[in-house]
Amino acid sequence: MGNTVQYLALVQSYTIIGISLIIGLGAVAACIGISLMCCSFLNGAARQPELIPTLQGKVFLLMGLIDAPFIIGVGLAMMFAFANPLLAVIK
Amino acid sequence: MNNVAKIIISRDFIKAARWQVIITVLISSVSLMVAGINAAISAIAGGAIVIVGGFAGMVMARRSNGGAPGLVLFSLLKAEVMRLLVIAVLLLVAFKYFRGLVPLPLIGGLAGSALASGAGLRTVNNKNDE
Repeated sequence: MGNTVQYLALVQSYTIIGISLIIGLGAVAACIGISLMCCSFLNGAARQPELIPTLQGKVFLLMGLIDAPFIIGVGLAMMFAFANPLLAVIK
Repeated sequence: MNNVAKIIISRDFIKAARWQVIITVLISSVSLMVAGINAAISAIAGGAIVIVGGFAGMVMARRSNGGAPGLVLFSLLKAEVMRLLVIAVLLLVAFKYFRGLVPLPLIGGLAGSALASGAGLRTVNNKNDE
């Protein structure tokens, strides 16, 4: 009984560390990607202002694509938070 | 923001959403064959969450006014924040209140739909943009 509780606590604590790494590193990567894209958008808009409407649509779609790994990471993190499959091994 | 920009954003979103729906239905069908009806519903929920989030972002992006690049960029960033918030809240609701949830198909539908959102980029170099 005591060992089981200890193992549960161990798995939960390591899971929390994993969740924070998934969300944190994903957010950092998404921020870097979006900042690079926004920089390019501002460059393009300054050079050719008439292309702003066209570029705007592309930027909107690319933001979704850049954020996709982060969204997948959030989904995985929630799976580990609410339905952790690793705990089933101990029970 | 002028009407041309609003039309372009809506058209790009619709093109992306069409691919997202196709990928979600595909993943849901595979889940139905492999793991049953709950898995199929979970996959559809995962895909629908991303599509609803994208729609919320599109509405936010269309609402802005301003032609300066900085203002346009700010409105796009606000739209992205709204999109992420809606997706996170809907995911939380799905994991908290959906009793028959099967996690892996949900993540599969979510991932497929999120990655398929780049399919709207097929409109690059479209003559209608000019």
